[in-house]
Amino acid sequence: MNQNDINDDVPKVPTRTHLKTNLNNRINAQNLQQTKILSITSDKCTLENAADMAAKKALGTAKLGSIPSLNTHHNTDLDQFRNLSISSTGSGDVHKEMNTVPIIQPSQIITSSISKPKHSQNIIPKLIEGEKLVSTSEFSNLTSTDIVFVLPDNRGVSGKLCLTNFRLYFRSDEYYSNVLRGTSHYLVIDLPLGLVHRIEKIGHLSSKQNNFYGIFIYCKNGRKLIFAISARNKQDKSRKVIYDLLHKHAFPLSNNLSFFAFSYKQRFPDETGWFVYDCKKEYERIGVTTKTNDWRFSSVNQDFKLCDTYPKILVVPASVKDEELKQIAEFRSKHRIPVLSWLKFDNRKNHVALLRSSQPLCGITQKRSEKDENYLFKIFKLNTINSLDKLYIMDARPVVNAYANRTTGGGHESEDNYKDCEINFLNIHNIHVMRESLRKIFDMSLPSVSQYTSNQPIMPSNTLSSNSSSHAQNQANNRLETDDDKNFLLNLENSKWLSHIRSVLNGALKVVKYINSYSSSVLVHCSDGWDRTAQLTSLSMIMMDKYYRTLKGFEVLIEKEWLSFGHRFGIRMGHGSSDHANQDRSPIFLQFIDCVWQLMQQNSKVFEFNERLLITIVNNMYTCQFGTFLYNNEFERDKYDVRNKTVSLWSYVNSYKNEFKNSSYIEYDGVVECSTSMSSLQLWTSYYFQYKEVIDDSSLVDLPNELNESQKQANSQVKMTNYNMNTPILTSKLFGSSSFFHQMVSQMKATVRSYNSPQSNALQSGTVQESELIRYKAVSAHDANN
Amino acid sequence: MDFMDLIEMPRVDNVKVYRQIQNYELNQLVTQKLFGSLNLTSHHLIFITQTDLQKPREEIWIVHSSIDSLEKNVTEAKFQLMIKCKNFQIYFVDFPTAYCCNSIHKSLESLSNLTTENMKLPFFCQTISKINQEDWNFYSIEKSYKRFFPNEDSSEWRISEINNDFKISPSYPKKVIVPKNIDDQALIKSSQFRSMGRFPILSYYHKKTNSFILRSGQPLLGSSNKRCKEDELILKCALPKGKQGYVYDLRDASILKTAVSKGGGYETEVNYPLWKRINKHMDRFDQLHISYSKLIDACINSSTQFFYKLDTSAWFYNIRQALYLSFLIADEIHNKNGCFLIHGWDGLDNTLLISSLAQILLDPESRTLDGFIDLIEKEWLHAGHPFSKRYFKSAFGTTPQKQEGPVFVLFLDCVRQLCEQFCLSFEFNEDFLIMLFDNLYTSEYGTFLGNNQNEREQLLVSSRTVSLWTYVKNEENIKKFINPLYKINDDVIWPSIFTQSLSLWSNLFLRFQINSKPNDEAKKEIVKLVETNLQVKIKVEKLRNELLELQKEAIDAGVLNSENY
Repeated sequence: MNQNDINDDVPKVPTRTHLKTNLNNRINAQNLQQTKILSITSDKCTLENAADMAAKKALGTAKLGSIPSLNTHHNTDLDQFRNLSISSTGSGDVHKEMNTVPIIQPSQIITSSISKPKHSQNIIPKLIEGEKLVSTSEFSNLTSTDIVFVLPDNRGVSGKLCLTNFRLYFRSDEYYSNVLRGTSHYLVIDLPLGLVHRIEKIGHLSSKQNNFYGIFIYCKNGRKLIFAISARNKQDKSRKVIYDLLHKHAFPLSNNLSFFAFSYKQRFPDETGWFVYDCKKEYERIGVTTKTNDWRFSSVNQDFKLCDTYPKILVVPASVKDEELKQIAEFRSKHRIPVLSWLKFDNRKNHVALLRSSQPLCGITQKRSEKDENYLFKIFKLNTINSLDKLYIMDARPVVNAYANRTTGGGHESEDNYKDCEINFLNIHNIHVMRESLRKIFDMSLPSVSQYTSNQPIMPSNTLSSNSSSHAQNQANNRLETDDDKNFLLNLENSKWLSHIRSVLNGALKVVKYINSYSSSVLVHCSDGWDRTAQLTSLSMIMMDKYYRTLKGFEVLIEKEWLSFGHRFGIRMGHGSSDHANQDRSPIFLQFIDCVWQLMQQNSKVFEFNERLLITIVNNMYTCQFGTFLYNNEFERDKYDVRNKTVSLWSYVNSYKNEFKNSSYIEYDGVVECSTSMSSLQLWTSYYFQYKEVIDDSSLVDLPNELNESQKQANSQVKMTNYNMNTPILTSKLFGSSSFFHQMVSQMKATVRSYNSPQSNALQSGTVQESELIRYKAVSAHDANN
Repeated sequence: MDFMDLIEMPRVDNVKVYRQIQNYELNQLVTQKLFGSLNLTSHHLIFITQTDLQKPREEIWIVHSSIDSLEKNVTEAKFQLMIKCKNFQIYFVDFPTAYCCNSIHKSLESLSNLTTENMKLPFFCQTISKINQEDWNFYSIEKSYKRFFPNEDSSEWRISEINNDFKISPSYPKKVIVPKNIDDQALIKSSQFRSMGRFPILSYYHKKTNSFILRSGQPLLGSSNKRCKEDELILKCALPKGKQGYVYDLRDASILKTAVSKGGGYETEVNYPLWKRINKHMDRFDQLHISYSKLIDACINSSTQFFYKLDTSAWFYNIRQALYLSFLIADEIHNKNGCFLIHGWDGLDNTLLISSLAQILLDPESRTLDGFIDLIEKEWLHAGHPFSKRYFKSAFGTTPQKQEGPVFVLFLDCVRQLCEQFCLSFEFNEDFLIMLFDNLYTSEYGTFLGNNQNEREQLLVSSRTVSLWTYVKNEENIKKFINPLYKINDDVIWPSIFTQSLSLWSNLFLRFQINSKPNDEAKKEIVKLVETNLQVKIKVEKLRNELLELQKEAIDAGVLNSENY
């Protein structure tokens, strides 16, 4: 957009939103001398506006049709709106009245429906099992006061706030209609507290400036929420009460409380979530002790004495004794010795191994460990297919980092000492680089106009209008809108997120190449072997083993490579901790899921699960609703008895399997690869921008009704049992992503299935079931015979 | 001049050709190496692989006019010709000797740059199917008029035949729609005042709100500040009471002075008091051509800084701007009471882009296959978009005249963005748009020949060539272009225009880089699903009826208690 455009000499009938803001700005100006003049203009404006709204609503209701109650609501809204706006021109009362709401300027309150709150009682969300209202007398007083939710474009929506030990819940007082979609809803903010990254107080009561007074919530998924809180006077402690309570329940760990997962007692049809992964069974499936006796189970770590971040059962070469393992552990960072992750067999039952470990503790003095060298040599010798080759060590780090690690006692294997090994550096950056990269993606958020609050859901803020009084605000909007949006591609490039995704995928592809094409065993490590290592082993296993591409297999993979091998979820996600600046936080697991998503985009048929599973996993990783991702390793989870005291995410997932299944899945034996050229990688907008609501949902109107219905039914089922993260069905598609496409297909398949099933939905809706139909047939045949 | 004069060497043997193709078994792109002979005919470069017992013979046909640029790379050891095609395919041809490389290069250079319209391919392709006059007359202004004004008597508009001999405005069609109470004399006066004689004519009439879009060329004020009473009258008469008129000038306000000094200008407020002027910048066709070249370059060399390159190409900026401006018009027309006159410089390029996009948003009819063809005929072919000039070269080439500008490609991309956002509201599919793109640059059909209706008539296009619509309407072909998910949507569509909602047209711009197999399969899958869905529904309906009848029968016979049902 050209900045000159704003200064054009073309003030004209501004768009609706601007009319409102203009109107408000004028009221806000509260210049008594001008009141008379203003009264005329604003009156005219509102009338136009109202007429316009009426037209819009007529359109909306025409589509609604079947929900008459909403129609009447609309009308009353409109009447009240008209009354109020006309009365507002008479005196200066409006300003006073509006000012009692919050400190934020009235100009920023949305006036699309100004009618008074109809219900002043508390609003309480549908609570899930174990969820309790946080009830202190002060707070329940507050819930009857107005809180204003501030939209990204600095307009406000007033409503009520409610806090439980699990979520922050806000509901607007009024319906906001999405005219294009023909629906109207309360604006609801339903935020599980586990997602809260950081809470800040903003603004001062004493400040005369046009500041918000309230709290600012940063979320771990990039969402930013601002609530303006009304305060009548300086003694008003409402904000402190809200802030303290929020802080207490959002950061249980910092406040000596337990995670919500320990209170959550929902029962599921399938409660085997904690038994999805059985270490022995899984390794036996791979072939350990069943197809080969070269490897054995070792219980040396049974009580976590060898390594407290490793699982209890380790798989090591059969020829190595437990005593030796203890000595090798001394030479590996955090005692994470090389252990088996996966085996590939050829036709003659020869095998190639994928191993993982942490870095060797070489240090500056280039220490050696004969035990470690021997150990790797033995592993190399186990590869009988390609015994002439080498054992390939994939060091995930960039070379420079690997060298730099020597100063802190780490390092990498040198090819001089490890005779039959070749070391490769995969040039994947560390957790800090990834964290900053993702932050840049989240910063790319747009101040989009929310679908509920505007009659013009997709309109960017700067329109044809330019008005001197709202000029500053327009400019602010313009800056936000144009800079963010105009530089979208530049920001995407600068975030380097897709380059990082590319390097991780390339790393995994390299591992696959060595194992699959060259039949060489591979050892993967990075520094501690719990971040990049886990990414590489699990991705390459997905590519090579079709089992991990099934729903169950994927659960097993996460349990095995991430949870049991000690990816530090607690620290990386910062579960329950208020220390938002902690340098150990990083979205490594999210990056892995993103990589899986990229694979899925390019090979849509080979995965049994769908995108929804990925989003569900990532979302629940933060919420602490399930015990699965709590704490940092098996040792800690055992200590807090997570298995017995919390519900597993997989219990939920497995209970509603159909929700998470890919309708076009076809079992595929081969290796799944993907192109990593920049033009084939995509930004996962359906996750990263899930709250931006950029795409107009009016296209949802397009959906054939019955499909929409079945989708809704399916959704409501999920909502009953689990906190639903409100995943948008349609998300913006960047560079050819086809999520919507797939959504359509699976919906269609669902209808086809439901029609085809013996107890057809369609027949059910005809009040009688098919079995009864057969009975009638028999009866009528009988009649005929008589 | 005869073709044979241009062909020195009709056949060269022992030639190697390299190209990138999809390998469906490996599911990836591979570079294919072929060995054989090259044959030069009047319109085609034909490469035939050597007969081999193992492999079937392969042929590659390259139409001369599809060659965008040729690069000769002759060293001591290598005699290579790189052929870049207008559809982004690139071939490398290794010749056995420098002489034949030079000779073929010379011939191709002249054959691919033929400017004589009469020598173009469509005139030699009458046999592909029968010339069908109906398809040439598929669009008529009477049809549009009838659609806009079902009741002719009450309409304020009429069809004028003032341009019947293309004298008033060579780039306009014979018949145009103008305000009823403006006589032809005023139109002539107005045409003298407008660039290229393009006086304001009706482009679209929105029945629901009685608002409209007019388009024209820029007014020729000049430095002497001329005015034209008749032109002012047209705009004054066109605007009904209670409507606000906007002159949508697709040039930045800062260059208006330059325009005036060059003899052009803008509608002044004094002379057009009822109309407000809005200046919105759109890149001109020559800038767009640069943008397009950069975009294709980014797509071909996508290894480093891909998004940075995409950004600097400004292609997305252009899509966004085009959608944004048409969005504003649609909003104003549908939701408020604005009426528009759109023009840029001559009203040949961006004017047509914006007016046709606005119509797609506003008019459900234009989202059907027939309606879309109508729109192309009305807003592009009949409106005088210079197809011959603009699409003489594609992303790799230019001519010294610099008349190239892929405005229509931008239009197709914008439409595709809309198709993607509203994937049920369009009757045609992406393949249809890609087919249009392919026929835009080089075609066996005559539709996109010439720069305007006048030229097409002189070339006798309609009696000497086959219309592209004949090909489209063929029963076999039409199936390929129909969107199986289409469902009539009578509403105005409001797209999202943020850059992050836009996507790269990978099936076109990356057509030789990405694997299109999954996409093709998905498409087939959808067609299949839609069919089963339909059949199942019919079955259910049948069963339901049967059930009801049986129920009734049972109740009548007293076997069932009617109260229970």
